Amino acid sequence: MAEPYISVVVAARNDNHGGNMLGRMQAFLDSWTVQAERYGLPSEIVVVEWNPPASSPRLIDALRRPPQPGPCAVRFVEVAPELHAALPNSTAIPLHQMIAKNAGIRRARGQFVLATNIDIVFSPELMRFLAGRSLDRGVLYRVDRYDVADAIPDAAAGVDALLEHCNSRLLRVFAAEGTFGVRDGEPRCDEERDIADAGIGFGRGWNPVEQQDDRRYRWIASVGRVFFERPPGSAMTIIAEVGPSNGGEPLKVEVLDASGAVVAAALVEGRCRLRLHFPDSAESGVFTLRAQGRAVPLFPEIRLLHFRVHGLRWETAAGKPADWRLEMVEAEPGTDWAATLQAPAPEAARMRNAGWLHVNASGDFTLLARDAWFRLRAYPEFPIWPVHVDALFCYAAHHAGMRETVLRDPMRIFHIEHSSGAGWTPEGEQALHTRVAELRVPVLDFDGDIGGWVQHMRRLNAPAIFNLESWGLAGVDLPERQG
Amino acid sequence: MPYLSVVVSPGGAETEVFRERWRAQAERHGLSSEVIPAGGAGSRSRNADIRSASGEYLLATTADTVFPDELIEFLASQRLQANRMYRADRYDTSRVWAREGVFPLTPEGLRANAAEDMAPAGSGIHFGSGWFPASRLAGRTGRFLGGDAEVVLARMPQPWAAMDMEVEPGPGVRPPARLQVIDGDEAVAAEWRLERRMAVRFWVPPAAGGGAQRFRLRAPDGGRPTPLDLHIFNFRCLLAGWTAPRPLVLQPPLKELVRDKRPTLRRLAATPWLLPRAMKLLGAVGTDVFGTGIEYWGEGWWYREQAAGETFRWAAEDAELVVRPGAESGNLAMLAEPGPGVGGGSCVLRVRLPDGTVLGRAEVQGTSVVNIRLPKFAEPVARLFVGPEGGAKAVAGDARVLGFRVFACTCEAAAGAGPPETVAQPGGWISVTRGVEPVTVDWTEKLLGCQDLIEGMGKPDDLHLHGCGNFTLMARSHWLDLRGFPELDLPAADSDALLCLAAHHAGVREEVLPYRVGGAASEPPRDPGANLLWIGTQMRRLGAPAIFNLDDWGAER
Repeated sequence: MAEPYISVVVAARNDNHGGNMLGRMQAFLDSWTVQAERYGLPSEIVVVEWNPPASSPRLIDALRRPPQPGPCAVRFVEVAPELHAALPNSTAIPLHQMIAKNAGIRRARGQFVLATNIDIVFSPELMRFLAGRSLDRGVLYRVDRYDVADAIPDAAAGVDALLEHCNSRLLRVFAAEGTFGVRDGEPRCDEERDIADAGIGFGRGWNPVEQQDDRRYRWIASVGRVFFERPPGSAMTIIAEVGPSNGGEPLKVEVLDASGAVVAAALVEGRCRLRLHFPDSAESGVFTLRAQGRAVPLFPEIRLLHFRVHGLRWETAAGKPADWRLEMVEAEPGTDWAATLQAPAPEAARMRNAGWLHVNASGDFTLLARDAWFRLRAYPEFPIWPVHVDALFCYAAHHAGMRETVLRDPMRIFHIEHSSGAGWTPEGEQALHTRVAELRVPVLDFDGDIGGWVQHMRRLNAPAIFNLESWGLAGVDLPERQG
Repeated sequence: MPYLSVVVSPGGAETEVFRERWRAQAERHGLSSEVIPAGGAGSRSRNADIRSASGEYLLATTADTVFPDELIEFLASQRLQANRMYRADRYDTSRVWAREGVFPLTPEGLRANAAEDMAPAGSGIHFGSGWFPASRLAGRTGRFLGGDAEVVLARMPQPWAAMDMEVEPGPGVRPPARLQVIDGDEAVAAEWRLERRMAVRFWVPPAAGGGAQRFRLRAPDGGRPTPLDLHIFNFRCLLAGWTAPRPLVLQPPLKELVRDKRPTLRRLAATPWLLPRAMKLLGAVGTDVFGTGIEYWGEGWWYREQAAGETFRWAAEDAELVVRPGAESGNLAMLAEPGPGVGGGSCVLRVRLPDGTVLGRAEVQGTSVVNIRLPKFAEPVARLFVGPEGGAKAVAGDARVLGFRVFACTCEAAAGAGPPETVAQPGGWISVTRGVEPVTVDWTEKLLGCQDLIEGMGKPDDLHLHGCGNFTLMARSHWLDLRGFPELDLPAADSDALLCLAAHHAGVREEVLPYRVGGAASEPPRDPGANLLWIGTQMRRLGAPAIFNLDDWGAER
């Protein structure tokens, strides 16, 4: 078998976590192994079976293995209950997910290592891209996650039926900007609270609707796609404000057409009203607003906030412009950001590489070169409830000089829904919170803990690494079986 | 392979002097070592040299550091332990850089008190390890104390002198919390439970072998961290000082005494033979009812009252006294009368030690002169309780229990031979609680929003983070594992401290060596920066080291 190009690392124990665990894990295995063979991707799957329950068969015995070896090996590495029991919080947390993944990453043989989870299905476009072997060693790869209904077809129906199910039963998308309900991918609209007239929809790049006092708005960091169906003879009014990440300077806002060409631009400032004229031919479609901002980091907010829009409205256009045109109609002084939770960071001038990363569900897809995982000593091995630890790692990678690349649709991963409270979903958030609180185990808070570390990595221009050289149970001889 | 590599920063001529001095000392004591002059003072330069070192252990230091021969001899004995991070106090010309801060030194080498401190200048009271520098909070000057806080009494006004302290809980304890006095034999000499600010007094015995007496204050319930500082502040002491011995009461002229005390003396009309002794007693007290030999009156005594020309105090039962009867046995003398709490008329007053040992009894019928012969005590002072045998009860019309009333009370050397036995005080030192007041800073309230964070940190160690750049020594393998000093855009002192914090949270135990490492005078360290504080707090909470270098640490960029 060829040397693996990619190692896929997951951690699990046969405890039916989340319900139909074996069914979901089988879907994961099949979707990778079948497509790896289909697209010729030399790879391996490293399953770290952590603290296996005595009452259940081992995963290697419980799962159906591919009928023929193909280009993907499946390795099962076992971490015995005694090793687990020696760690803090071992009773409350039967699977220390990040430490388990690290044990797999440590033993991975691929040039690149993808850390993911056992209920993930990979889109054909993503598998084809990976099989192209064009990954960059200096890049941290991420992708949007699409949740799909849990009634997956039986494994015997094959991977194509599984993929068909995934594409047709989308529930929501975990994008960089937030988690959105989704029907067909885009637009990502908030039907109850959104800020646009009919015929206008928000796509990638827009943050969810926020509200301050009685005013609603959406932020964009750099770009925001807008879908439109324009009433004849109308122009679009954009009620907006320049955000704190532009450091109080006027902001250059560009309009890009569907091909990505810059078709209009304006210099805007403060609170303003913009008017976007369309060419007659542009009756519907998509355009992108791009803020050419200064990326001034904020405190305690970690997002980069260049431009917020309070409303997109249709108005009757005066005259008949022949082409796209963006103009600032009126402006007034904007918000004094210094007095808000989105104030420019006190040491912003020293923060040379402040990035805002796609860390939403990053535990489901974090891909980087194996040597980069080693340089960073992989995920922080905190023996706590494992939420947000993946995000911390992504920011460490960024501040170690890795460039984040978010693989774009139709490259995507599908996540098979599981029972409420087993993992984060908007509907199950409270149940999960209650469950963790009852366990009385430490948990990282995103705003306080992750936000704090991001601020410090920015300020220090350095990654924060929490493991010693022994990370990933380096000195431990773990039994391994090949599936 | 040398036993020890010494990475010295900065480089240059000063390093050559250091190298020669080190070589001579190492040769003298047979220490296998190598000296590596760092290319510069920054973390990256030092790290480059750390990576090139080959010793089993590695010491990072500075060229102006001077090592005592005892330390070199210790290093040569190759008794360093692999799981230790060794640190040392740094002494420059007149200061010590200790765990708690930087302190000027007295000519005797003690930590000098600040100009504005909690102990009066010239008191002979010094504060050693475990005490943080004097600071001002909520309008009061005081010092926090952390672990065992050493008090050195270079001078005492007299043997068994009384010391007053005012202490309140700090953020390191959850009130009520115990505060203990630990004597030189590691025994608990006194203990209080502090809920609020407490004024305490204890009588300090002289040092067993002469010289300065030392004791330590310990917070057995302490150790809780705060997100406001990396140090552990268990208690805050606002006052420490000798309390003046009770002034001698000058016997007033007989004429004045008779005039001033006439209303009380009238009570003895039926027992005129007691008048001379009563007058002696009344003449031996000042404006209160206590006189010669009474050093303290505490629990059980009601406030002083003045009515109808008389001065008196009511006592309930078991009224507390600390007496200093003199070299031999003493005589506790009182002009007293039974109160309504015992039915008036008569009662038997009993004197006992805190452990219940009864020292004597005397019957009181009406207003009486009571004399109770005390045994000779092992110490010059003794803590006693005096009260009606059988107790006393509250009666209608007064919420207080009025067991007996005292117009005068003294304790003087007894004439004639004392009882043959010498009685020892139970429980070591004599200590009392003088009063309880509201705290100056309510830390429980101040840190209310941080309780989860504080609980999450457990009870971490308070590391010695001052002058880390002058002396940080651990196994080379730890330096490599931790990827050397953090190569960060931070003040050097903060970077050095971050390394020590990371080492500690990587499981390397700190040990402060008992050697005086010398250094040139330099600016005292500033307070740790906000970045160090936050990162250190997070390391505590996460129980993990924070490392900021990649695997190219120490390399040219």
